[in-house]
Amino acid sequence: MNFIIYILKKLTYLTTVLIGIIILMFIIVQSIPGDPARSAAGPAASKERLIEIRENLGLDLPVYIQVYRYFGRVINLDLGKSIRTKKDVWDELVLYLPASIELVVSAMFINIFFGVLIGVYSAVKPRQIIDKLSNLITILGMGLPIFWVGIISQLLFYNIWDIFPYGGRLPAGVNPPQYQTGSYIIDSLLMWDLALLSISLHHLILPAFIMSLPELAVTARIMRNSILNVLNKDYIITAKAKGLNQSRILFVHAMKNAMMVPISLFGMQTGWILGGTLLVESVFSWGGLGSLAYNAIYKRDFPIIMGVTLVISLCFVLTNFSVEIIHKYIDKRLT
Amino acid sequence: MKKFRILPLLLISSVFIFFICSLNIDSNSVNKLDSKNRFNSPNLENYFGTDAAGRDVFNRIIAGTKTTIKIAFSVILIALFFGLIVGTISGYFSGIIDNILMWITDVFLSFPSLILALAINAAMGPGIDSAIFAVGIAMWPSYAKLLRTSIKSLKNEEYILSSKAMGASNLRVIFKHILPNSISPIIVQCSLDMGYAILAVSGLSFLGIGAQPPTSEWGFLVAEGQATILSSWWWSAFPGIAICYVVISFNLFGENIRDILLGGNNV
Repeated sequence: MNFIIYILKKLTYLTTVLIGIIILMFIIVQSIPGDPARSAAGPAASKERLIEIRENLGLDLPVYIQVYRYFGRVINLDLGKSIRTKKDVWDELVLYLPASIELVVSAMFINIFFGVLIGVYSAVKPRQIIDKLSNLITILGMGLPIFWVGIISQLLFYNIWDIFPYGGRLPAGVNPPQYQTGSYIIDSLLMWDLALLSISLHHLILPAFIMSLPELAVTARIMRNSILNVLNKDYIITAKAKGLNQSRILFVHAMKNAMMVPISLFGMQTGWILGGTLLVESVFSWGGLGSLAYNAIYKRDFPIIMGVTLVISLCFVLTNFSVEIIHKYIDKRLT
Repeated sequence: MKKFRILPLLLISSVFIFFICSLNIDSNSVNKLDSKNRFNSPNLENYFGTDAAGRDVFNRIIAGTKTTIKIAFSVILIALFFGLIVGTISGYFSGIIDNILMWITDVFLSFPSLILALAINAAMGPGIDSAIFAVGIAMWPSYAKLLRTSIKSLKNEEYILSSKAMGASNLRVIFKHILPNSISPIIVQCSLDMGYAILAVSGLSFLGIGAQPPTSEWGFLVAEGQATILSSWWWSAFPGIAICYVVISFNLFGENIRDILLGGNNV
């Protein structure tokens, strides 16, 4: 029962945080110079036409009324229409969001898999060659600017060795699979088109790997320290004294407790990666949320900016919420 | 008691030596066009080659050190300014003020930082200063949270309570007793964040909304060279290595400071 009340409280709080995000974005966007109505109507529009558009979009109203109206629409799941393309914001999001999610999920997968692997490996044999190597990787990973890594790896892997494509989600001339989820990987699997699947995977690997690099470095380091901390605890020494074998102690006893810190890290990382897709997306011309937001901000396409911000913050808040729930759940079982 | 390690100290001093050199470089001579020496590959005269306008890439990188150091310190100062105010107030006064301030902090923390930076940048107009401000604004919540936690744990210490009992004002307690005693984790966080600040601002410059030409900001140099990377790789490659070098120097130095001030948890 306590647990349910806790969840409800938390959800209410998170809703108010989302409301705050909308208000903050409204305030910032209001101060961006440039006229959205002008960008909707085009440079040749007459004055009367501009006033008409402004009235239609509600831009002539005071900000607080605009915010209030926007809330009313968001509750009905209506994000409005793009000022520039006149398409529904949802339609635009559905077009761009899956590409970003595909990239972020793959990057997180690489991050967790290799990060945990490297971390565990260097914790088991501290101060030996693998530990030192992984230390080097973490120092480099946290210091590399990913946009630069992207460019250099394009140079190496495409121009010199020619093992990965230059960018984009598919080569020119190849038709994307029929739209079901928007993720080319899943859609081509659903259609059982293995040739298409391998092509889209081939395009995905390099950007996903580069995106995961800085996070992977952090994961490996935190995983290492977390396991080393646990391995010094009494119950591990007891387990050792009982004569359990090394891998059983490591994977059954130590991992369960050592995963607490990394799990909350994964929640934060998902948000960071999702919020920062733009850099990798722009290097690899990957049509995702980042590019959508970038164009919208510089074209004053207000409904799109709000839509993207809302979706990314929602993902961020929800991942962190679920991580916290998992945490609570594990914690309850421990005590 | 842990000591300064030799490698981080060497790295960070080399960065500051480059910084001092960059202060003495005349930006006009760095940006002088030389049509005869366009796209020279690295050689003994131009260590890192030359760019499309015949400018020496090595000189431009050295000149850019100035901007990079400015970025690192100004971003941290901005984040620190807001973080200190919000964190101190909400840590010291509990109740409704604390709740409201923490709500604001959470709003900023959940806001996608790159989009926040883009929007602030669009509102202020492109330029290195607005990029610095935008990244600083995206960074302050972690300082506020850090300071709040450490003040909350200090607040009921006996020496704080007794100075209150003696009639010290809130401001006196905060500035005389609480801040000096909660400053170590903040210093550590600052030194660890400097590298991140450089990466974030150079990312904005790379997208074309940070530093504007002819500033020799490194992220901007990488973007400039991107178009001709096939024929002249050095134009993009070396500025990126420079970013990496400085960020790693700051990171290692920051970790060293953490080990000294907080005892370090590196097993």
